[in-house]
Amino acid sequence: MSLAPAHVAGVGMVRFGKYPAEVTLERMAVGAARAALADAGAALDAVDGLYVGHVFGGPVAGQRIAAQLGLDGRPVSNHENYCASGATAVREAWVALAAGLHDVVVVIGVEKMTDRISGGVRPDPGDLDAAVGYVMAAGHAMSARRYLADHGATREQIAAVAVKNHAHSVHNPYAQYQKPVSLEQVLGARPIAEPLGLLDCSPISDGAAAVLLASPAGLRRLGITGPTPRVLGVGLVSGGVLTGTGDLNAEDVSRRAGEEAWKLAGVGPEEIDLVEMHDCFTIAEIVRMEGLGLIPRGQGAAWTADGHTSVGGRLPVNPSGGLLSRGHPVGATGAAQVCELTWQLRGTAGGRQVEGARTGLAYCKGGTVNGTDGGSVTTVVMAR
Amino acid sequence: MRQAPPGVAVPYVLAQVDLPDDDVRLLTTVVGAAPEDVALDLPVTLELAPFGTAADGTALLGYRFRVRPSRGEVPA
Repeated sequence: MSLAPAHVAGVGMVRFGKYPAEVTLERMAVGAARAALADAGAALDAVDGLYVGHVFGGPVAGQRIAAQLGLDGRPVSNHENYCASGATAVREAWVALAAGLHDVVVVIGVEKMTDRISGGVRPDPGDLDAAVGYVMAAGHAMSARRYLADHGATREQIAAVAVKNHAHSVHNPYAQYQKPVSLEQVLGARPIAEPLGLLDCSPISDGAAAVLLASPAGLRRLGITGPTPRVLGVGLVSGGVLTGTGDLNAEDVSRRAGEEAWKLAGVGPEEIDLVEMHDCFTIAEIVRMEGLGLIPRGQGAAWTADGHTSVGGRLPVNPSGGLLSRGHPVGATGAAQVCELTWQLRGTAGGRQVEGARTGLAYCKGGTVNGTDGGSVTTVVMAR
Repeated sequence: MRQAPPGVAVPYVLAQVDLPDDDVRLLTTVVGAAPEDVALDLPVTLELAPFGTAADGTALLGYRFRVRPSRGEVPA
């Protein structure tokens, strides 16, 4: 099975952050979409359809956005896969282009959280884990405790993920936080769920990101003749039911998501030059990179502290600053990762540019389901 | 957990408890130790505990685990 790549004709973002009530979900989404259209030099009448990823936007948020954007009447679909919603919308758009259904589509990831979410995000109330008080931070704190005990890693090495990603974000004008943080600040932050503190956790954010995807015919319609980064494939897997008392950090769901990506994109893990990784918590970046097979098992913490995952290192992870620094409006994150990979593959990422970047991977993990190793995981492979 | 959504009292302890004889792992609340004293591989015992109230007012019963006092300690 091999689907044609989707060309990224344009990308745009509204800086992630905390916005007042009048900066609505619809307004942010329209802003990001217009930025992506302007980036491509495209007019609205060239667009065949709209794919929108969000979690907390309510019924037909995508159609509300379309009406304000000027895409009313077009096919619009809403995609909810928790924190992988934006990337899932990218996947469905890629499939529609490859199928020949559309030639030019807008994908928007958007979320308005700061006026409706506080104290952390959690599973659906119908989930058994939620019933006993599970919030996302709990799972990652347990993951961190187990990792420290099993691999001889140190708390400082895990904290180094936050230090590294905030250092990258200084160069990202779309990041919610653009200031460096020190190791001492991470270690001394207010505890959330030991061993994790406030700076080990991604923030609750508002924001939007948009991607204009096109088939070869769509590029001709848009008058684009130069090279464009391409989405080679988007893997999607779900958590599998776990039985027994195995390794809490086995990350089989990440391994399977990686294998889907390599199969769909026709590239191998050794070809990946940089990764946009779902670092909703510091430890998550480490165990997911290991689950994908991109870092040897048990070495992710040491790799981070040694600078191997910094821009300029052997495998840069989150040059954007990641969720920890860019912010995490959950439905927007997957689309924002595609924006970042696009800038990196164009060579226009400025002070956070990964030199010579040819192939990149973006990973999102959305939600949890009791008794499984996850909700949804997406893996977007892009090449220049 | 030291921070939770509104309506959830903190701190509380969540843990994965292994029942090796049954090859089962449970996510559960753990009581009987301060959060800072909870460590990996602590032995625990099952106990029944109130688990909210049904819509018709019936008191619901659930389970939790209690940290087992280490040898030599007198249970409180």
